[in-house]
Amino acid sequence: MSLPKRDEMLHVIETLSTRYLRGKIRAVKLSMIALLSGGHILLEDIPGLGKTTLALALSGVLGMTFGRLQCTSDLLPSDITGLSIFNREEGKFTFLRGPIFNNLVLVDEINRAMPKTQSAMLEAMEERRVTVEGVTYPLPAPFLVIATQNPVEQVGTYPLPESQMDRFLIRTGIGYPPEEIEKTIIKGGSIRDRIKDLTPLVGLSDIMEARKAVKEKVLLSDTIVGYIFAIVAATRNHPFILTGVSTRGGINLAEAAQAHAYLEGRDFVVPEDVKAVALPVGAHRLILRPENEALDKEDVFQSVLKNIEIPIL
Amino acid sequence: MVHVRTVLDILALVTGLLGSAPLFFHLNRIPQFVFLAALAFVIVTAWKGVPPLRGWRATVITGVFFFYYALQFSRDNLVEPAANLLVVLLSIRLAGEKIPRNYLQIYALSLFALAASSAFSLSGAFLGYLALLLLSIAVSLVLLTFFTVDSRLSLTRRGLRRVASVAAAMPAASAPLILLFFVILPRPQFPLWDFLSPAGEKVAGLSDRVEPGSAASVGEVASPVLRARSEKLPRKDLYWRGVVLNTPQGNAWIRTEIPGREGPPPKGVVMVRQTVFPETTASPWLIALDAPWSVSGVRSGKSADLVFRKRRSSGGRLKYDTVSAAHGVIETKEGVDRDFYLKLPEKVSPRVLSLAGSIARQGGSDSVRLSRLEGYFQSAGLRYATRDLPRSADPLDEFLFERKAGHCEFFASSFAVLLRAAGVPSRLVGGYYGGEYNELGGYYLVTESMAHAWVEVFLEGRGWVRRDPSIYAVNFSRERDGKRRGLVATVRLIADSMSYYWNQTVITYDLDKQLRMVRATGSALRTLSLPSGVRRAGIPLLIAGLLLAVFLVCAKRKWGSREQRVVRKFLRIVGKRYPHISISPSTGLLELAERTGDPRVRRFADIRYGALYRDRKLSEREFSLLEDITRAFAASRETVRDIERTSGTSH
Amino acid sequence: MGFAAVNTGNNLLFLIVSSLLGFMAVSGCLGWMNLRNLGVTVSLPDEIYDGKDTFVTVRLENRKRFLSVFLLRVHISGKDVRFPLVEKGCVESDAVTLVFRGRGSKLLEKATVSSPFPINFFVRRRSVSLSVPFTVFPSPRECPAVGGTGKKDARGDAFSRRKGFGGDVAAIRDYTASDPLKLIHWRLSARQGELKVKEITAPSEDPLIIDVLSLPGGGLEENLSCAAYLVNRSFRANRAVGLKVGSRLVRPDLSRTHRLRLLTELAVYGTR
Repeated sequence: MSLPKRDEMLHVIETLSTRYLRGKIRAVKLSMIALLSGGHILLEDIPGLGKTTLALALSGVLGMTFGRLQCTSDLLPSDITGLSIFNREEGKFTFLRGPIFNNLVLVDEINRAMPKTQSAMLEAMEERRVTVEGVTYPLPAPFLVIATQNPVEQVGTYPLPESQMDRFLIRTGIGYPPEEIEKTIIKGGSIRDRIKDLTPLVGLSDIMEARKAVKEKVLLSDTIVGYIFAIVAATRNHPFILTGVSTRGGINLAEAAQAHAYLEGRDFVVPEDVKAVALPVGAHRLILRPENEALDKEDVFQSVLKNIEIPIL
Repeated sequence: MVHVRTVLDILALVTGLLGSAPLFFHLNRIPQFVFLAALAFVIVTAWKGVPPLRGWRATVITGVFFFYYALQFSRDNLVEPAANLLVVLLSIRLAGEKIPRNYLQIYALSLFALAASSAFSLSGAFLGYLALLLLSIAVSLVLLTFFTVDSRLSLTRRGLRRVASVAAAMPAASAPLILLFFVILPRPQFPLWDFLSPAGEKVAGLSDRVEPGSAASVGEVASPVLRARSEKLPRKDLYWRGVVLNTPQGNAWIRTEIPGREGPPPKGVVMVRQTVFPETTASPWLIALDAPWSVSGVRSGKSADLVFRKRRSSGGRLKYDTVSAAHGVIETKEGVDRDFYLKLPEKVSPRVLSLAGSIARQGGSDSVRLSRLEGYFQSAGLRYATRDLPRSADPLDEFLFERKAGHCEFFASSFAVLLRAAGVPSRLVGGYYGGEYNELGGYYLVTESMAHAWVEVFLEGRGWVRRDPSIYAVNFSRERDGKRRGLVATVRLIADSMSYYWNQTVITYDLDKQLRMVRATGSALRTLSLPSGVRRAGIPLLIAGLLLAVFLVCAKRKWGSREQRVVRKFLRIVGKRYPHISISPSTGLLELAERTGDPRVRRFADIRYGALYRDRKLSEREFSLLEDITRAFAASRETVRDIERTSGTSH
Repeated sequence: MGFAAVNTGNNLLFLIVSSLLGFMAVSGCLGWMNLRNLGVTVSLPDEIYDGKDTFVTVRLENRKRFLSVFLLRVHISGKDVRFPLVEKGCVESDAVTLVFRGRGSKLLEKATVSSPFPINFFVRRRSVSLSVPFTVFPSPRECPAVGGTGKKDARGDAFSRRKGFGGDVAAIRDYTASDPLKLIHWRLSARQGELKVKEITAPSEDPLIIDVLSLPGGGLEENLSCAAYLVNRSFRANRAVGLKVGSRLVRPDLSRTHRLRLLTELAVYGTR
């Protein structure tokens, strides 16, 4: 059993989580899963936990071009996609590419951007191309957006509409590192400078090949499809949940599970793969009933998962 | 789309037809006409879209007929007016406007009509009618339920098929229950009230009067008289005794009950045991193989001359067991009233008297005179005939000396008269001679065309000796032995066997059979473990086998395949081995492996998952591996406990 | 007929009687099976208003492996839904109009399924547990007191119209040195020969905060009804709404979930 490029991908995760992003192995792994299944990731946590560092490190080690957007309330759609400027000398419009034309785009504090700007961003993420003044420009591949968001209670923010959360394959927090590791991090100081010197461990073609392997080599059996469907259906009939996981959510769950199985070195998906990615992939897609809004979506999703029998028999 | 109402109307018509068809030919002219008119009316109104008979008209017609038939009711005549009225009511309902209640009435009336038909005929066709009627009523009732919920309901053809097939399955599914209920429904030993009993089929049967010369010809009716389950007997013994006619009256012979007791059963003679299933008949005589010494299974009175008479006309069919001595002699210890048995008709022709005189004059014992008369019959050149019979004022004289042709009654009565005139006591016996042996069913079929009369002669020291003068007819054997062969006969044979079994199993089922069945079941259960009882225990074994099969299917559904079982067993063992780890249905095997950190669990999970989530079945090797792991795991648990125990004791 | 059969000992009557008995037994069994293995699910709309007609979808799933379900009637809070035929393994659904009385959190506990199938002599019934929680919102009632935009007492806080970056282009004007580069309208500038900038409005109208208890009108219920009306009308007008009920304050926002949240607040006020 050999899965192409798996060793390289594992090496990337290993390197990042032991040398640069210690204590963030979960986030690193999930980012890799998002990359391998062609989705985007939303990191939701308070500032200062290394969200940006993670994105920088990833782009460095993967050999991807890197673009960064710092969202503010005056950020306009054209600031993301780019805009046509009239060139007087040549007497014609020139298209200036925005920061989204990169393999890896870090969208910082996406909830600070105005809704209109947010939706332009989300649309580009989904379509993987940008249309400005009637001309369509494809985005590079692979294309991975890492958006960060502060928890909603922060003042002066425009939280992403719940119905748009679906566009992110994965939403996850980073969380505080374990005590020992945090102590060493504090002692060692910021690693931003070291990240700048990172040399790519893999190339873009490696990533594309790995993606292909995830899609084609990892078997998604009917049993697992049934299990995923059971999860999706259960979210739709849950008393706390207003809107459950959509069909797109189901597809994403399957893709992420495949990527997880790939990283685990298996050429077929098992329920544990699904369970491992279920919360980051599924929870943010739920829209809770107004009376249950105070509940944590991950807790609700976890309770759904707990009641679904794993088809091991 | 099909309107439920249309289907219901058609089915109502079919139901009405099925219910009244078996009754139709037993009805009076008026109900027959009314029924046919109603059918025509229904079809025409449906065709033209004219509204059916409604409101007061139907009520008035019903009232008139009800009144008319109510007048005819009496204690003796109950069934017939009721049957007629039933069919009239059914006709009016069919022709009338229909609301759900009316449909139900049609079904009920049809069922009652079929029930009433059992008062007229007990033929096996009843079962066919009943099955069809049940089917039709079942489908109708289900559709009626739909109709009641929504009277304008239409179903798609597919939907209609679904409904109809489920409805039609109901009678089929209830067949075993019907059988069960039929067997176990309590039967009374005797009918409590007689007046409801059927009048019986209007078949002439055995008359208690023999009067040769009363008709120019006799019909040859092949309708069955009785069936007797019996071993096969020589044809010469197949005399079925009915009634003894001992008194001449004019040209006829009638029966006078004589006092006295029958003699003891003969000794040293092989007794023939038979079970007789007679067709219903108006005649009170119980027919049995000559000479019957006992008849059991029905309440009857026995005369000294071995004639058995039904005590009461019990409803439905009878069945009785007989024991007969078939050697043609009824031994009598005591003598007989010679004067009674020598009484001659008032008017005997001189030619007959002189013939008798010539036999008597030569003297000798009774038996010598008898053989002399036999010699005369043998040489007289008499012919057996059923047409152009003597019809004069003295038919016996005409038979013996003019036409020399007649049927058994002529032979027998002239023989008896001549014997009596010659001073030999004799009497006539009416019954049947012959019988078709049905190899299929092991029984004799006796038909009306086998009706026969013969003579019994009293010979001192021997008793009553059977003599059949008809055998001296020059054409006797040809006339009475003509047997039909070929396909028609075979079909008839099979049809008759079915009729026999119908009678035997259904019509004559009674308390006695019920009790015997209970006993048989009981003994079959008792002998279940004995090898000799295996054959009788066949049915219980079969039932047990069926139960086992059902159980296995259920078990497979409940406990799953062997793969599922081994996984479940493994999980149970892991649960015991690691009691602090909670295993719920949402726990995966790999997850379990991680939580226990046990490499064996990991190995098990890998094998199981490797097959399951590649969408294939476990291979034999993998399955045995899983079993090995499970077994080893279970064993290791034991060992751990053992080690703990031994270490505990050593401390 | 049973009597006649016993009396005459006529086995043909016995045969008819046993047929009827057998038939009854089988039909009873069939009727019982008809109500087995059914899945009844009810989906209620998100918005249910006190005393208003509400469309409720009832789904009936026939989980039987061989038999269709016939003539089923599902009885939910006083209304019936009929399913003449549901084939094996199929799902049928039908909608029924229900009216719920009284605001607040409620629970639709159970439904009763019944059927006269196969023979209309008995109606068999069985109850099916549903346990669907739902909230009945106060019935929206127009309040005459709130018409225009200037009435302070009805609207709570008011904010003035302002410039921003999230809305539509409100005006075009000449470029001044303080304008950010991205506001330049390049197409227009190219045509006119001098730099023009777009002026963009704030994303939406001023948010509205409804102080329920100080609304004009009769009692609490009327105030809640009025508030429900205002919430719905403002959302239709694409205007963010917040709520002040007693000591609780819900910040203004503009999303469907938010609207449901506001209505829920109104529905459960004083009921817990």
